[in-house]
Amino acid sequence: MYARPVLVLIVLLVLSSVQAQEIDVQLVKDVLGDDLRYARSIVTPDGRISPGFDPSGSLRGHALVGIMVAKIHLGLKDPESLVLLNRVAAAVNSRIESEDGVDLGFDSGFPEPENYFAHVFAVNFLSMHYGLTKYGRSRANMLKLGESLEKRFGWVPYLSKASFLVHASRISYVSGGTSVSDDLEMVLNDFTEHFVDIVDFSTKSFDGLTESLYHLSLLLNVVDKAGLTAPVELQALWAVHVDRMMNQTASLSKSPENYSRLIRTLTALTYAAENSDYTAGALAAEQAVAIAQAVSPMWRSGDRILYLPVSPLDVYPLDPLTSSEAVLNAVREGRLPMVADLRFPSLLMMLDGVKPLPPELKTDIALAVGKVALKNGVYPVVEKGIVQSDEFVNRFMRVNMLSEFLAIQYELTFRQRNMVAEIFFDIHPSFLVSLTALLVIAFMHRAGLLRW
Amino acid sequence: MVGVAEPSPRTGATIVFAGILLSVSGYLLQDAALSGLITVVAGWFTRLTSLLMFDVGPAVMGFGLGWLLAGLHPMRKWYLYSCVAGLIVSTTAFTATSIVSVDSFIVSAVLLSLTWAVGPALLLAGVVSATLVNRRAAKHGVKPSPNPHEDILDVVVIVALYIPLIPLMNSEAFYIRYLLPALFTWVFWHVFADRFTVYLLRRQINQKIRLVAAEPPSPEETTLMNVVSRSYYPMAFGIGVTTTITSILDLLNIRIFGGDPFAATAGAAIASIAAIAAGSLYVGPVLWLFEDLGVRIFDTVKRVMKPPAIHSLADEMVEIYTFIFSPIGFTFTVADGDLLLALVLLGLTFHLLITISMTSTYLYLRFSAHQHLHRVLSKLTEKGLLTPYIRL
Repeated sequence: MYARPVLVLIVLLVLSSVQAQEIDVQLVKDVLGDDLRYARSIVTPDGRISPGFDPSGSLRGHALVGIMVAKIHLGLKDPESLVLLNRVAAAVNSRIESEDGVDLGFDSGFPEPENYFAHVFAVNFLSMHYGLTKYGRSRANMLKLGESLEKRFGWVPYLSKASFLVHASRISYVSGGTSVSDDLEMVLNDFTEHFVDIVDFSTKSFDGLTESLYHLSLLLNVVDKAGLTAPVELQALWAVHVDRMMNQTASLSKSPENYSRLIRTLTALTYAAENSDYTAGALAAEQAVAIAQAVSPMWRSGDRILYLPVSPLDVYPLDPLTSSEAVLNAVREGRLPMVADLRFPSLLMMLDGVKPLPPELKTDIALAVGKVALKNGVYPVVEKGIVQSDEFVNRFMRVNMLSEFLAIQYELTFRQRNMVAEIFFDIHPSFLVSLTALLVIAFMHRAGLLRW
Repeated sequence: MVGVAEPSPRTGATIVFAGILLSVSGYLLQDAALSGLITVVAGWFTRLTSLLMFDVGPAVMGFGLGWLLAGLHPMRKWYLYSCVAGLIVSTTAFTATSIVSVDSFIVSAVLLSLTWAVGPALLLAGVVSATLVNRRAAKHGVKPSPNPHEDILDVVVIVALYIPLIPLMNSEAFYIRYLLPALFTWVFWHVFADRFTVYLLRRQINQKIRLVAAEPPSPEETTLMNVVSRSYYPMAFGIGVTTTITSILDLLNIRIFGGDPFAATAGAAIASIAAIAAGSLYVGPVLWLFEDLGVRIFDTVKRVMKPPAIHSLADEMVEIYTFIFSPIGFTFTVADGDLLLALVLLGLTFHLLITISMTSTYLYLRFSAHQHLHRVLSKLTEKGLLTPYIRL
């Protein structure tokens, strides 16, 4: 009898094929749920922030909590987080409308650093809220803040109204929604009009180059997803940016001291790689993987995540108890806070969707999620003693990564679902007619109504 | 009535012509709008022209073509050609869209039309003609004669089911999700179907009940309709088991399968393969052996003879599962209440399970059924449990 050993062999093969999941999705959801409870505990019933959390009552602190809730909602997509998100958004909107904690137009003697951060974080929060809910009031106030920033600092890619609208569309796509094509047409006009400003900004510094490439890549990405076509000059400008970025990274030293530049380069290249339909996108993906492979050994050692020096602007502004003046001082003194940087695995997750990663980089993702997804307590992402609101900043950073993780898990499903919906309802409704007819015949046949 | 109800080449050709007219009118309308002959600004206009050109027109053409084909030799089951052609056209064009990177709009539009409009319409034409032809034939008390290629068409259908998997050839998912389960199911049936049948028959025997060899065994041939109709039960049973497993895990709040709903569905289907193989043994091969053995159960007291049957509960459960429970279960457990996503996932599971089920059914009928029939009969005779009909 040969059949029995064959059977045993096949059973073993089937059993071994049901692989254990590397990352526990349910645990990630539970941890985000815990962060939601934390966020709820610092929000008052009218959507403001409890004085115990931020005695100064700054708009920056308010918007930071809002961003955290928005990210949680992006990951969990549950009604509970949406309720909290809308409550915070309503309060932030009315504060902006009454210029409470912010000075629109930078003209009434409000301390400028504080006003700048209030603008930046509030506009980020509102663009997320608009992207997630398409709420008109948030859009209006987001544009008001953008207007004020453009008036004060001129048109720069990362402070333009257009870039905030692009960000909103991006959030909307990641959450499975659609963008507003009117918005994107306006954005395309704006970017084309400020072509020279973008070139100016990019040629000024390395940071300018990364910043511009990031925003141009994001723009191309959402425009493509909306089924629109970017003007040829913008496509060319983007390709030139990718090319320059590749040249510049060749001379970049791959040492931990240089980490803060490396991560910015990796960010720009990863977003560029997302436009994989373009030749430059494919080149960017290759380069991004190469950089990630160079960063990986300094980011972790064995199963430990190492602390690396990052830009002070990446950490200090996230702490509501650190005043804006103190943030500026840290920048002036060139103080580099040490952080177990979770942006690195987040970027790897995005990159993995474009170009399958080598196994050691996949391990980095699993390690990061496994380390920070703690049901009890919070992983010390930022080294102790650097910020005063330790718990908040640590949670904020882990929410960023975990929500990205969940969103990526669901993005493919949403994309396929929307594609199917388009085919069934818009392009080929005759398929549904044929399918229904076939099912009716099958059902009648089984029910004995068509027996012959 | 006769002319309309029966598939005929003439009506088929007329329908094809109507489809061509629809497509051409869509093209002309678009052309007129582009050249400025007529001015329509509404968005529905472009949608209408593209629907006429690429959806309704091709679908009507496909239906007409299927009708024409079936009408050439209605009493020789040429409608089977329409059905199989529909399946092949759909799956091939579907695969072509994902393999060939299409840059031209017209090529991708035609491929989409073939996949979603022409193929399904051909299939529908075949099924509708089959129903009409068989009803008419039954009314006159005749049976359509077999299709000349009926014994090859089943292989063609199985090949068509595997065509969409070609892009997966290089990934382990293809082997783990499709080939291995099909082999596993078949080998499981091959090892256990005859023993289980003997056991079930022996259990029925007592002082009053005897087994009678009423007819010579009639092994089923591997023709298209046999394989299709016989693989229905294992498939339906598989959908039932998969849904139940996912529902129970969902109720207990256990998520062991993948992150996204697609992976979870595939994972659950794989995990239930063992259950499907074991469970469908009863509603599959055992049932077929009962039908083909020619053995009857004879009640010596009541002097009644009836064919052996599986428990009616199993029979009915399968129906309830497929048509009612599984769509509902899927919607709520895997798709979080998203109806469209649930239908897509259900389609995916359906394809997975019909592929597995048809492959293993074909393998069983082709390689195991004969041997099993003889083995069951000889075992029963060996143990003296089978009474020849003449001695009754």
